[in-house]
Amino acid sequence: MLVFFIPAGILAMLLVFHLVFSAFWDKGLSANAFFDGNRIRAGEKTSLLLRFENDKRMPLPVLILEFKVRRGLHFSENENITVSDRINVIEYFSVGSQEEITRQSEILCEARGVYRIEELLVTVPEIFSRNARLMKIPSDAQLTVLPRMLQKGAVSGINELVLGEALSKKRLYEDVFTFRGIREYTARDPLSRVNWKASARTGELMVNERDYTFGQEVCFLLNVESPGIRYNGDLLEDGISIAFDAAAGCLASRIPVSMLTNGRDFATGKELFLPAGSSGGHLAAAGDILARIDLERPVREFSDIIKEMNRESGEVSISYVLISSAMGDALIREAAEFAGRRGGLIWICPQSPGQETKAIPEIITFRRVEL
Amino acid sequence: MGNENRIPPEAGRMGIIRLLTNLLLLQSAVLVPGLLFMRPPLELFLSAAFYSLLTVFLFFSQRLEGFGLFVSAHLIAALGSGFLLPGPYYACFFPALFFIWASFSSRADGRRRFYPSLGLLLYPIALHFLGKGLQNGRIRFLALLAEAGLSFLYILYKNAESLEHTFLAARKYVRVPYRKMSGRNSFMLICFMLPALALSAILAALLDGEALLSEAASALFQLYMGAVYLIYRLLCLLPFGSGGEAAAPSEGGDMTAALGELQAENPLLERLWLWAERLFLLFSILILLIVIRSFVKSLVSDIKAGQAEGRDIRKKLARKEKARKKGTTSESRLSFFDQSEEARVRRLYIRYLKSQPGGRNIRPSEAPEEQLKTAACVKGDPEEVRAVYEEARYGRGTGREGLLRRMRGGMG
Repeated sequence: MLVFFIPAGILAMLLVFHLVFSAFWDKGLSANAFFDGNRIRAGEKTSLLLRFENDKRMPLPVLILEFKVRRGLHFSENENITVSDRINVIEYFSVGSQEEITRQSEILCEARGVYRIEELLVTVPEIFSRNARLMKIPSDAQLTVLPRMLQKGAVSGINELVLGEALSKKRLYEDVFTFRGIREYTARDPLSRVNWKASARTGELMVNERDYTFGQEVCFLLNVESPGIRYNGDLLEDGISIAFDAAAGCLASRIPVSMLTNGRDFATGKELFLPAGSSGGHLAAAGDILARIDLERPVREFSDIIKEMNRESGEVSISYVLISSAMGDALIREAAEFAGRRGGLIWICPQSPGQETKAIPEIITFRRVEL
Repeated sequence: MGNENRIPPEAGRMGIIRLLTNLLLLQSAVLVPGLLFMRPPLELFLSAAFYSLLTVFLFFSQRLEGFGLFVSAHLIAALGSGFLLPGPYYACFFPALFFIWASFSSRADGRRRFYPSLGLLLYPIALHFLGKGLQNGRIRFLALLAEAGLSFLYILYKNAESLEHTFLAARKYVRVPYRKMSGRNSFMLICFMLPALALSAILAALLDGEALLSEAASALFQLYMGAVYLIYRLLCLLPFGSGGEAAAPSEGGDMTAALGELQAENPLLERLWLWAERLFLLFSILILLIVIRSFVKSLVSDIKAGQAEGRDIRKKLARKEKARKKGTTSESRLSFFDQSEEARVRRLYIRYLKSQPGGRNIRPSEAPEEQLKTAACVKGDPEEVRAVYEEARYGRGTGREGLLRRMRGGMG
């Protein structure tokens, strides 16, 4: 009855092959995606590397890798992508036994933002049927695209203005970590300064004298409200770029920088804030903050933020720089009061050519920027 | 951009598999009545050859766009068959019916009929019972051949269908490594087919060994004689041949008698048969040219696709790399198959120690310093050898190029 056994034997072998494939197809199979560099400025190019590893003897003739990333990146070979609310990328591979493949794709970072590849979807079709096996691999590939670089001439004028203001606001402060000497107590001295040992020796109240140091800081107030109903969307991006380049200029001069914005984080939705700092990594932190701003999210009116700041007492040694294309009456009013309380305010206003500028009180140092 | 104009190679392969399936089915349909009524081998062979032509006609007629044209082509084929078919018509009635049904149902079904399927595997089993009932060993043998052929065609078809499905989905994308996919797919197919063939052969030998061999020998002999006669007739048509009537070979008296009888009955039929043979020759050359062109075009496409594959960086994972990735800290055995540079350095180190005066006394559990002391090295530079060995055995990271050269230098 060979006529039965031959097809039965072949079909049994097919079943065994299917079981073996099902059991071992994903053994030793791993995939990884990573960007060449963590931070890059908008308008520059970088590479995306996809790496597959098949650490077993069984080759995989067909292997399909898919992943999604938010829009804003331009892949040099667009045929492998489809665009919806996100960019979907599909790549085909063929992996031999115990082989590692690395594929490099050049990408142009068109828009500022944080780009993450959170998951890789691996599909392996079966050899004797149209079915396919799926595997999801988590990924931590992340690329931070910093605000784009501005024209050299535009930024230098702003940097000079900001640095000049910062230098003029240098204040002398007592440095509590230094000791200069002891003198007699006067009515203006606080009791915390009394040196009791010296007082006991001399029989009169004696106080410690400290040495002095300089203090200065620049705080950027970034307003990402839309300037009006019809406005050029690039104005907000220009404001963000100005904030980054101006902060870079200050940090290069070792002036501590802080940042306050009504822009919201793309992931958490919270308003972003950068505390003061001047360390080596502070510029990167400032870039990360600015990259995370999602302009699609609704924002608070900046006049409300300034109103809250007006209620607080603040350091007069801090130079404040407001970057805002929006010029609402409430914002102008609150900014003028703020300037009066804090000893001045620089307002940098990115505008489109031909756009009208409202009257700004003289207490505010106003600069219109057309980029 | 992309590969929208590229026909996946598997589409051609699937077409060939369907063609072979149709051939197998129609051939067996032709041969069964012939075997049943014990027709002369020549008539059987010519009938089978003629139905092969009709199978190819079936393949190409599916591509005729207009239904009227499709029906007209079948009418012409039917009329022509009436004139050209040799032998008694009852031997060809059922195959002709089968052929017409296959052609029209294939067109109605979107031209995908008679692909190898599990249901089709029942057909040879029916033939087997027919032969068993009629006590006809040749029909049973035919059923066995058809079953084996259809089973393997089924495997090939499922594989080609799977790959075609993938290729069709990948047509609009770039950087698809078609050549490597086809190559590795073929490798996997061979890995399956070899054991399958071996299993079939073992089963055949165990169950019906002797009977199969004698049937196979008889069938091969008949096929050989029929092919010799057909080639002889074709050669007679060529300018340097005798042309017209040709003498039959001396072997196979049935063939001569059959042909003589045919010529005596109908001279017009003889002339038409000559024209049919010329057309058959021309048709065969045309088919051959189409196949060669498709093959060359497929190769060129594969080469172009293969060039794009050069952009990927490929690296073989060595076993040592595999152990490192697993975080193995215990000593790993040196594998015979491991030809990486580190493995070769380790082998040279062992050879170096064993060539020293105390080489026989070293133990694997000793540290390299202890091994060198035990070996009492007198040749080469023991310190350099030890340093290179430790770098190969335990070192990680970059800067490890040229270990083999350094080891050979240290050994002296």
